[in-house]
Amino acid sequence: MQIDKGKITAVQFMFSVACYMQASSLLTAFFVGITKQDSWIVVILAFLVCLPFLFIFISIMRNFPDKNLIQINTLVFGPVVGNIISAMYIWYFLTLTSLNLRDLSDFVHQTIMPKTPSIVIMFLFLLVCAWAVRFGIGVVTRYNTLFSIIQIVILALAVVFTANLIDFQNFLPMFDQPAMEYVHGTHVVSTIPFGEVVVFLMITPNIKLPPKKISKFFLWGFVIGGIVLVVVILRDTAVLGNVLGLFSLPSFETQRMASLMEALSRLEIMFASVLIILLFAKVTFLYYVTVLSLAQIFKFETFKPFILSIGALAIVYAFILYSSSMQHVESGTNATPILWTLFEFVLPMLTLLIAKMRKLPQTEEVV
Amino acid sequence: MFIKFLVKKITFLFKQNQTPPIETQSAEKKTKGLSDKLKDNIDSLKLIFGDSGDLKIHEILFGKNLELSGALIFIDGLVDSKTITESIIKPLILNKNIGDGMEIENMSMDIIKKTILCSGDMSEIKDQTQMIEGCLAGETVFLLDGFKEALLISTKGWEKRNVTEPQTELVVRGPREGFTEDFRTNTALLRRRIKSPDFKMEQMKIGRKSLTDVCIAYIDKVAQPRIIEMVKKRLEKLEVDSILDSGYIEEYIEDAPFSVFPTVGYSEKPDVIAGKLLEGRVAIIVDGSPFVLTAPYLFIESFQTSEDYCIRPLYASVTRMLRLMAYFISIFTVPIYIALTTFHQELIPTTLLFTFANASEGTPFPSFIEALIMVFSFEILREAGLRLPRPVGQAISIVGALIMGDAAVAAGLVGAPMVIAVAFTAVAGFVIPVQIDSVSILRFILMVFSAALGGFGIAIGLLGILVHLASLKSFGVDYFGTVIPSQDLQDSFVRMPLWSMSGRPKDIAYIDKKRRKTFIPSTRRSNDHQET
Repeated sequence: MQIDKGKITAVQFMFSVACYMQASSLLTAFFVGITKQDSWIVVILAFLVCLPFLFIFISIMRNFPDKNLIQINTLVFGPVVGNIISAMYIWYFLTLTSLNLRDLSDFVHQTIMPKTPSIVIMFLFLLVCAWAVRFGIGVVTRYNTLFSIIQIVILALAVVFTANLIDFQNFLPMFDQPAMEYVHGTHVVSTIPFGEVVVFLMITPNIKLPPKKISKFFLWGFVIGGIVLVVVILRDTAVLGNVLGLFSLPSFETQRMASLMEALSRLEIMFASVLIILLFAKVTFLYYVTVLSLAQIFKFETFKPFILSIGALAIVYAFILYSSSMQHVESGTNATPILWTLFEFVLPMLTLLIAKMRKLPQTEEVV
Repeated sequence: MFIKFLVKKITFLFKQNQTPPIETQSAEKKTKGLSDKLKDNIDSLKLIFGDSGDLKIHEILFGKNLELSGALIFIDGLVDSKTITESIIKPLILNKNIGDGMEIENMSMDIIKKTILCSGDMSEIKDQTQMIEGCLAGETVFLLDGFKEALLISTKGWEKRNVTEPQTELVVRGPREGFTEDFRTNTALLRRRIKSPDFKMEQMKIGRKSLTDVCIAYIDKVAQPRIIEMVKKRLEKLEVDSILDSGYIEEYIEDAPFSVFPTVGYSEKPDVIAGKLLEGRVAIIVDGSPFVLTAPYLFIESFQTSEDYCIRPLYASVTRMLRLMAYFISIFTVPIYIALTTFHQELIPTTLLFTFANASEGTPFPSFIEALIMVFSFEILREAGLRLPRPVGQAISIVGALIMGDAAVAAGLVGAPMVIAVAFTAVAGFVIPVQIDSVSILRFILMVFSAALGGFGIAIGLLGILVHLASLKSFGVDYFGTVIPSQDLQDSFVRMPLWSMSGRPKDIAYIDKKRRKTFIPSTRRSNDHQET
């Protein structure tokens, strides 16, 4: 049973993946604190580490082209264990939604509207998201292509505008930190921005594409997202140097420093708008996935009854997650990656292994 | 959600109030055959029409010995009296051979039709309803004593406006004809542009009382049958008493009646409609309206003008982008100004900030109230200028523009920058006349948002608008479709050269997708040279 019958094209899917990862590239504080000026190396390492896992996701998608993650769990692990795992995934999706919502409200609170209470910001923002979620996958992923291209253009502009501030000395000393730091950084980067693409397993049935071709588009989306992240880190490091880790919003600081002969200054407004639209895309997608998976687990015909209640839950959850944004960074650095490893790497791998052992997709076809 | 609830509530209330269903056309249309007595027929007709002054019954006697009596029935004003005299009365009365050599019993309507009357469009009818309908549509009914049949002779000829240049959609270059209120003229204007037999016009009558002619025009194999069916179904479902303008139809069949964005297009120019038909759209021509509707209608069409296709592509693209920019300017300038002066003063360059501060020093109101005053008074001025007779309208605009704007600043009611922002907004809004309602309503909503939450409010408002646009559909086609990169971009932000636009819009066109062969004119010309 497929709840949302909307279909998206392959290009839309590709840019959704890219857009999702680009949204993470704006908030880099949680890992640049670990390896500082060598963060770009860590990003590339994490990218390479994640590639095999990406192929695990892709092969799950190929094996179950008309099932989403919740259905796959029930099928592979049986109804009891499967539902427990699905419930854990729902918690994971909800947490991601709340985390990103909190990121947005913290950002707006810090930079644009210091006196406005967070609840107002979150509430209005989530209301728009809820409106989008109501219309299903088509509207949720509709603008991702546009947003993704806007971010790439603005990133390119920002690189040009900050070109006079770039100092390659800032990359030095290279490879000068303990090996464990690199491992730690790689782990953080591979779980938080990269591994999160596991959420796209929820929309496999909605992609208008023969399952064999999914790998190409998924991979390209992933590569675009990865390249953007590397470029952002490189630019920030080149401009700011190893004080990079001290800021809660390194990219914002970088763009704030940019000025073009006094004529064009205050470019951080571009960063702010890009951050809002990209986080809108990301939160809407995660929100949609949460609502969809909840409806799926309870076998509802439609996901609409869950929208507002999940929204309320996400706002409350976002409030109790952290008491300050530094605590957020701290947990992003140390606690979350370990938890996320389970959802992003261990469970998909198990799913694929068990599915292969039980020869699941084949029996499904016979039935 | 809320709106849906409201709609449900309203329909529920209406259902409660509704009186038992009115006897509709089908009941009235009870077929009643004609009598063979002329007097009976005329009497029953008189009974139906009552004392209508415009119903003319003209009785004539003719034949060699004046043994035949007949009657011509028509509505005065709908018919061309010259045609009646020349091609009906004259042949009948002057022809003394009637009855000569043939018995009256052998006479038939068929013979009269074929040998005597001089008209190109006649039909034989047998029942009363047809007779009445024919009469009301401007045809002349010819009744003959002793016959159960009547002749319906086309004598339509009423006062109508000439084909003139339309008041809206003015062009510097390109055809200047415009539709008129006359149905036939309009269909003829279209037919003259698309001569292919594939161009189909299906006619129907809508409205219990007005019986308005409505025509669905499309090009076979270019328009999707799905969309044609949808338009037809929506029109057939209409249970209304009158259609006085195509605007009525638009309101009844549009997809999103509560949206600020129009989902049915209209134009007053046959060349625009022909172009849209050739893209696979369906046109709806309504009698009595010089505006022809098109469906499906996409957002980007508001930014296309007929002139874009008559001038060279480079400049057409530039003006189109200008129009898009003007649209955004007219929505966002005032909200952004409010947000900047109320919340984000740090974003304004220092020198400009001083100017703003100077200007608003003496004014008593916050910028949101200032903007409200200005936008509101501007809308009033616009409305006044539109409704008043033209010479007075000009006076009003002078009063508005010069005196009120200048005086408001001099009196210290509003700051000069605000006047500039509102004036700019207003002028930019006129660039896209089709979207004028969305512009003025969205501007106001965004003003409220930006006054409450600054830049974040504008962002929220913008995202909300985008979500709404993405959810809109016009006859099953995504309303905001072509903004997302796709092949249809060839005619959206830019207008590609005609020779490069080989396909019709992908979402709309049916089987016949190819428009022309792609070629580059210059290369072809060089080939010509080589050959010669």
